[in-house]
Amino acid sequence: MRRAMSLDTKVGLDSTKVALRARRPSSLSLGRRRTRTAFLFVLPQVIGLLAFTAVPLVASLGYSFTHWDLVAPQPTWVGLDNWRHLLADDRVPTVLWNTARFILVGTTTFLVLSLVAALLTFTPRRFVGVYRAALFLPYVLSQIAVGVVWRWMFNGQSGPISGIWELFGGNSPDWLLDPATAMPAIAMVTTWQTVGYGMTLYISGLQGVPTPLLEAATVDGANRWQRFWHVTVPMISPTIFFLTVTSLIAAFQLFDPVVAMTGASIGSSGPAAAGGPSNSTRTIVLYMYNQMFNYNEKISGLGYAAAIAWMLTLLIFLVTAIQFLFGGRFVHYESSGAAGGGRKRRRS
Amino acid sequence: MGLRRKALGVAASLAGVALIVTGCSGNSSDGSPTAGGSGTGADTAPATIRVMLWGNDQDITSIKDAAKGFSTAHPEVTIEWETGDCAVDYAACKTLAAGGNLPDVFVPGTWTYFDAVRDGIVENLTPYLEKSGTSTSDFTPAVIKALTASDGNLYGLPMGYNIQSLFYNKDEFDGAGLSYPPADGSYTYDDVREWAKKLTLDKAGHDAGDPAFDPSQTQQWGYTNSISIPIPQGYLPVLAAFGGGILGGPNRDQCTADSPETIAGFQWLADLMWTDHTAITPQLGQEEAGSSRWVRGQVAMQFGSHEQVAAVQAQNPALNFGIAALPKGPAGNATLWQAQVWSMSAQSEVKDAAWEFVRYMSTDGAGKQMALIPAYKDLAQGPDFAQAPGEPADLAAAQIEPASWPLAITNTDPTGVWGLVTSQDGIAPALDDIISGRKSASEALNGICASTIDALLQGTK
Repeated sequence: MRRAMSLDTKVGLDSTKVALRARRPSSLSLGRRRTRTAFLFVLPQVIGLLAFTAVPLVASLGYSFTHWDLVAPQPTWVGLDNWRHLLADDRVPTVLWNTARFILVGTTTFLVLSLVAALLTFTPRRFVGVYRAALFLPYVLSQIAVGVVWRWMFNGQSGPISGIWELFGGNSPDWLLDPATAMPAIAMVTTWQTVGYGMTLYISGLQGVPTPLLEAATVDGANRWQRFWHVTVPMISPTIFFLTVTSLIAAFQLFDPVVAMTGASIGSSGPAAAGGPSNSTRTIVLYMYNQMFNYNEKISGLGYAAAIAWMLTLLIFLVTAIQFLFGGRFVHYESSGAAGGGRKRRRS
Repeated sequence: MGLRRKALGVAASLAGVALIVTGCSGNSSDGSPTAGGSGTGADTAPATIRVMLWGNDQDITSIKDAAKGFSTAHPEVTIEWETGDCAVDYAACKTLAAGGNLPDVFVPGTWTYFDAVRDGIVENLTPYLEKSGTSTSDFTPAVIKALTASDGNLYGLPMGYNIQSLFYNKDEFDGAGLSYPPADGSYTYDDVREWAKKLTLDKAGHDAGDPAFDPSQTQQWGYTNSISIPIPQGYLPVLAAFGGGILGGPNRDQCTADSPETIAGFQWLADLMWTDHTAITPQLGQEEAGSSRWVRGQVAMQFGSHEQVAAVQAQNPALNFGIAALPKGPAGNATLWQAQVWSMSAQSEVKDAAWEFVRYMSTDGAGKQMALIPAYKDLAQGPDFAQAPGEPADLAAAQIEPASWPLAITNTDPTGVWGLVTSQDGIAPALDDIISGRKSASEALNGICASTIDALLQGTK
C-alpha cells in the first residue's frame, strides 16, 4: 500500500515535472510578450521625450555655438563667441540676482506655507475637503490670468490689498511699481497659486507618518512641538526634499507671472517691456526670451539664447546636485513594512 | 535592362506632367510675378490663400466684410482665414516663419513692418505694382514714404492708418463752462492743462484748481493719455510737439531721450498726473485703462485714435463727444499716425493669388477695415470714413488733415532698435520713475543717452 502510494506520488511528481517542463517555454514567451506590450505602452512617451526633450537639448547645445535669427537660411558657426559674451554680459548678474531673490522669497514661503496648510487641513474635520479644494483651486488656473487679476489686486491706489493695508493704518506701497516690492509681490502670487500643490504632497507625506511612533513619543513625554520636530518632520523629510528640489527648479524658470504682472508697463507690451520697475523683476528666462525675440543686438538670436539656456541648465544641475549631496543627509526613508518593529531606517 | 527602360519612361512622364503643371500654375520659382498675375483680377489661377488677421472681433469682421468683394471678383481664389499676429507680437510671426508656416497674406503694423522686411519674410511688392499698373501715387504719400525700404522697394500696401487726436466729452466741457477745443488744433498744451484742472472734480464737486479739491476723492478726471498703458503712441506726439522724442534722425536710431525738449514733454505729462492730479495715473490705468474710463464718461479728454469712435458706438452710444486735432506745443502741432499693412509672405507658393488679394484689399476694397482711415485715393473724405453715418463732425479736420503736418510722425523702426531702447536695458526704468512720480523727468532722463542708450545703439546690428 505504502509502495503503491509512493509509486503514485512518484508518478504524480514526474508528471508535474513534465508539465512544468512543457509550460516553461510558453511562460517565457508570455514574459517576452508582456515586456513587448509594456514597451509599446511606454513607446509614445519615449518618442515624445526623445523628440521634444532630448533632441532639442542636444540641438540647443549645438546652436549655442552659432548665430542664427531663425529666419536666415543657415546658422553661422561662431565658436565660443556666445559663451564669451555670456561671461562678459553685465546684465547676466542682475537677472541672476533677481532670480535668486525670487527663489529666496518664493521658494521659502512656498515650502513653509504649504506645510502649514497641510497641517491645518490634515486632520479630518467638517468641511476639510472644501478647505483643501479651495487651497488647491488656484493651482489649476492659468498663470497669465492669475497675474492679470493680481496686478489689479496690488494696485496701489484702488487695489484691495492696499485697502487692507491702509485699514491697519499703513501707507500701502505701490507694489508692482516699486523696485523694492515688485519681486516679493510676484513671489507672493506664485506662492498663493502653488501652495495647494505643496499642501497635497505634504498631506500624503503626513498620512505616511506611523501613528505608533507618535504615540511612543507621547508616552515618552514629548510635547506637541517635540513630536512635530523630532518625529513628523523626519518622517516627511522625503516630501520636503522632493518639494525643495522641484520648486527650486521651477523657480529658476520663472517667466509667466513676471510677464503678466509687469509686462503691461510702458514703451511696448508683453515680454519686451516686462521685468520692471527699474529692472527689478527681470529673470534669467525673461532675459533669454528678450535676447531671442525682442532685441536686435549683434549677439541677439537663437545662439545666444541657447547659451543662456544652457547656463541655466548647468546652474540648475549644480544646485540640484548640491541639494542631493548635502540635503540628502537630512532625509529619512522609512520602509513601509517595518511599522510593527524591527524598523529599518536608512539614510540617503 | 527592360526594367531600367520602364523606369526612365516613368520618370520622363512625371517630368512632363510636372512641366505642364508648372506651366499652368501661374507661379514662378523666382518669386517674380507671372503673366497670370497681371493685377486685373480676371486671369488668376485657381488657388487657396491663407490670410492671417489680428484684432478684436469688430476688426476681423470688418476685414472679412471688405473681402467679400474680392471673393466676388475672384471666385477662383479660396480664402482660408486664420487668426495670428505679425503686429503686436512679432515673436509669434517669426516663429511661424521659422517653421515655414507663415500664411500667404498677413498684417504687420508700421512698428513691426521693418522687422519683417529685415528678416526677409515679406515679399517685395514693387515688381507686382509695376506689372499690374498700380500707382503708388494713389496712396497717401506719407504712408508710402514711411513704408518704402532703404532699397527703394515696398514690401506692403497700407490697409489704412490711424492718427492721434483729442477726444473730448462735450457735456463735461459744457458743465465746466468751457468752449470746445478748436477742431484744427489751434490751441495749446497749456490750454489742455488748464482745461484739465477745470474738468477734474472730486466728490464734493471741487475742481482741481480749487484749494479745497481732494485728489483722493476724484470722481471725474480731466485727461488721460495712453502713457499709463503699454503703447507709446500716447507720449510720442506730446514729445514731438515739444520738439523732442526718444529717437531721432532719418532712421530713428539717434538718442534724443535726454534733450531739454523731450524732458519738457515728459514733465508736462507727469505734472498732470502728480502735480495737478488731473490725469489718470499708471495705478488707475492698471485698474481700468483711461480710454475705457473716457468711454464711460469718467474722463473728459483723451488722446486717442479713431477706434474710440467704434468703442463709443459699441459701449456707450449716448456719450456726447467731439474730436479735435492735437494741440500746438512749443515746436508746433504734432501727431502720430500708424498704419496697418497688407503684406504677402516671401514663402508663399501662391504669390499671384496672394498679390491679387493684397492689391484688392488696399485699393478697390479699401475703407472700413479695422476702423482705419483709408490711405487709397480720396476714400478717406467720402462715405468710407469722413462722411460715414455715425461719425462725429470735424472728423476730416481732426483725423485726416493732421497727417500732412510737418510734425506728423510715425512709429516705423527701420533699424530695429526700438524694442531694445524701450526695454528694461534702455529707457523703461527712467520712464517708470517719471510716470510713477518717483523722479522728475529731468532727474530720470538727464544724461541717459551717454550713460545707457548710445551704448545699446552701438551694439545693435
